[in-house]
Amino acid sequence: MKARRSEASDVRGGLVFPLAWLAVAAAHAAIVALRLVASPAMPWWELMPFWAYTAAMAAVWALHASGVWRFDRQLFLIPALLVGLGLAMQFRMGTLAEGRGTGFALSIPLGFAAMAIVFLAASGGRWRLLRGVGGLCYILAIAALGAMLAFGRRYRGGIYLPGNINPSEIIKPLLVVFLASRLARQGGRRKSSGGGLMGVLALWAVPMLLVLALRDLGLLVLLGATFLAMLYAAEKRISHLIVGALAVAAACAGLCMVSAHARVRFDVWLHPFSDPTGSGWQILQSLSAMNAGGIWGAGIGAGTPQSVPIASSDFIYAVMAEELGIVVCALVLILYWRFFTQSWKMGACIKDPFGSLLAFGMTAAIALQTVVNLGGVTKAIPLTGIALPFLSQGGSSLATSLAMVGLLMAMDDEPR
Amino acid sequence: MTETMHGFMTGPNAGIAMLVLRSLFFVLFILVSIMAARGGRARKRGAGPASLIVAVALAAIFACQVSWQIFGARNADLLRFIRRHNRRASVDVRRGSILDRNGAILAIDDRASDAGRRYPLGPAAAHVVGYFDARYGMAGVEKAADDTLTGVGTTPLEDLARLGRGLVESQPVEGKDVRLTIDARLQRKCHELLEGRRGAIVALEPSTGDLLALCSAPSFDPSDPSPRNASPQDAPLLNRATQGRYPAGSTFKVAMASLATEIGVKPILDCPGNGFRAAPGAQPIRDVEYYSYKREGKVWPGFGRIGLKTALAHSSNVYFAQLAQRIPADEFNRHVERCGISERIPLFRKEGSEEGVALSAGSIPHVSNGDVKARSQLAIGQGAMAIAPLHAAMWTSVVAGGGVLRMPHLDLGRETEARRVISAEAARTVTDMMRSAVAEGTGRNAEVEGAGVCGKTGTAQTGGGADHSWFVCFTSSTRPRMVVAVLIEHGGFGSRAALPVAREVIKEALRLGIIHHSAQGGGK
Repeated sequence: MKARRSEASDVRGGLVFPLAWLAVAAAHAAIVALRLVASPAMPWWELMPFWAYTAAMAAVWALHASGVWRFDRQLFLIPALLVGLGLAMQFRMGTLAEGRGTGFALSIPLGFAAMAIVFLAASGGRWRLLRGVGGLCYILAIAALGAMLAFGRRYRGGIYLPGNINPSEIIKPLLVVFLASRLARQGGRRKSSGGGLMGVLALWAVPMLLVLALRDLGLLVLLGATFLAMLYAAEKRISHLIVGALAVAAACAGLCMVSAHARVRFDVWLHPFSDPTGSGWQILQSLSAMNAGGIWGAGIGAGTPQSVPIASSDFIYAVMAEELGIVVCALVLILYWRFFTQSWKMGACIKDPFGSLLAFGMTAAIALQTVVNLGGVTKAIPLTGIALPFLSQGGSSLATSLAMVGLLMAMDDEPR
Repeated sequence: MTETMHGFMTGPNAGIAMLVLRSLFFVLFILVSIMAARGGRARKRGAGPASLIVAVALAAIFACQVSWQIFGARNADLLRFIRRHNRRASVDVRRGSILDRNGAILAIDDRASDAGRRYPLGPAAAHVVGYFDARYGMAGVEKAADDTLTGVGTTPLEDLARLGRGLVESQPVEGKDVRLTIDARLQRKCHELLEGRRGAIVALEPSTGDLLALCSAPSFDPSDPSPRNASPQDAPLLNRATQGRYPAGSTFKVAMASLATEIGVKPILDCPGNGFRAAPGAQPIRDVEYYSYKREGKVWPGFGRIGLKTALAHSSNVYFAQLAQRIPADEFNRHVERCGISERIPLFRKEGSEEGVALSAGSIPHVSNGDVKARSQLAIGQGAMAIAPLHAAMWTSVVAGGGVLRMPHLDLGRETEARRVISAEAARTVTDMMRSAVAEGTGRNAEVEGAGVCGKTGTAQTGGGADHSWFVCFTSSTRPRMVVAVLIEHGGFGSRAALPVAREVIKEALRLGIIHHSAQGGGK
């Protein structure tokens, strides 16, 4: 009975889909208007990603409202709203105008397509098949890391394969699948013999060492913390959490010792004003942008966020803070939190320990990435150079995040 | 249609339309956020501790953001930063210009351009002027003179904090201009002369220490100082004139001759063709002629018994290797220090600090009396020696300045330290020697009609590849007005690559009237 009621409210609340689209459309309209003030020439093809977004929203709304697709609409709606907001900010930044945004422009249709495909492929309990491919995922992740080590070029602290592809995005979900299947198997044997745990640790050490060799501080923190979170979710032992946290901290400290790049990031975090025009420039421009924003922001298109280095990718949150103000920022943080919480609740309801761990891990990976990016941009923690899920420019980040959302939507197997 | 919309969007319509659209977005976004956050399927189980942990983390992030976004005006450091480096329309900062010694513009604010700053000389003066870039920060004089250029150098921090954000927004900040010792015309010429090569040119006025030109190639575009497309060997951001480190080759014999003359060690020495051995079995130090004769199938007879003047004019390695053994080690060490090689020399001082553009110490190791091999190597500018072209210009400036080294600098009008290194008399003697190097020695082709050029070639052996080509000189012999040091990486003989460049620099300086034909007292 209760399930029926929630179903009904889901359909009635379907109005939120067009409203979300309208909010994104209003932001776009404001930017178009601003462009038209400056010049009558308006390259309309720059709006192509927006039309792709519109089509995706309309399709998902229709499928959801007609009951063909059944999923918790919050799991779709919050990411979709954030993606729309990010799209508006990218349009405002002229990411597409300069011709360098092709990857991003494609990532909207591709990302939603990936989400739909993953959703259709994994729904109806078919996601359970992932349990059997944990080892394969592990090998693929190692291969991707190996390729980065062998062929990667370093660019602003990140590692990219030829064509500016950043495979580190795909590594996260692959390793989550692996860990979920492995830890679930572990749990079955009860109560974790030390040997089983050592086995997971040994397997986990390989990708971690590769990331250390890559000297990618962001990925190191992300993978380390995801592992800890999943280990704790599986075993519920505080001691693992404490020892693991110390190990991750030690790995970070070690990386800071061998890599000057990582050390500079730590120093800048502690003393940003000691070299304001050199290493502190980026974070200080970000904080200046926030300061310029105030409560209600400078208004869409009225700020000068381009003075923040790499504003459209890692620092997109600073752009929002400047132009949309702290009120919208607070709402964005609440939206993120609601999405994570809802997704974790969904995972907790799955009876199968593998599914439960998988949903938990996928969500945790996105949540940790969000916290690490936002913490860096607001100077709460050192900068690590990782993208903000759903909002950043990075094409591979957006597509991967949306695919993960598709999986989470599909895993909801509560009886309705 | 766009035309019509553009027409509509002019005047007050635009403001109203923007207000409506922005408000619409706000209302819709707030509404949708609340709906999205509240909706969602009810669940039987909670999200566990993870939800709480993330809530705390996001709250901490938000608190941090509020401390900057809302209370940033209470942070003096941030305010100072915003006032100086923020190009937002709300903070109107007119950054001062950078001018050359004659008032020609080297860097000026240009709101129309993307970079916000225009550099008329482009790559020609990029290493000296530096850059001011939203993406890459600042460098060079742009960085060192930032306080002056932004006009806030003297405002105490506490005042800024008290005045608060409102004041920062409403008061335009006027920066001051900065004048450099550089002559833009000469600098541009130097850049052209180095086109397509790797090397450096230094031109300075010995009596004041004013750097007239300080050029390094390859260079970069200061409007877009991104490091892309640069090969590691090119290292375009490296200022070879001050940051490059090379063996000095025979140009160091100028410093050796100065010292020898000053302490009165000017022996007549026998310079045999088969060279000087530091120790039995050691690799002998030979004159260049030994090798050129050998290639032609002949045997170099050596210079025979010669004095310091002939040895310098013809750049005899065998002479200087032996001379080094007669100069007390402590005199040598002291001379290296007196020439300013082992100290950091500020070229453009940042106000109230030791930072800024500087020539960092070169390295010429201290020697002891027993160190026969090292002393003979150093005397001919080889061995464990690593110096910048500006260092070579400095020991040449000792001779040109009548024995007084005036520390080089870039800020026009700054009185720098004047240090007597050798006596005026000794300087006159060495001037004579350098003059004869150009009149009849290795520097023959350097002569410019009526300029009385005094010079010394250098050919420095490198670990690999062709030798580095050096030439140091000044003009004129009777009225030294300009010292020039040229280095061409892997250019071969000093007389072949570096010397013609130095000659062109002198000709240009004459043409521009920076130095004058010595009708009033030319060379001999």
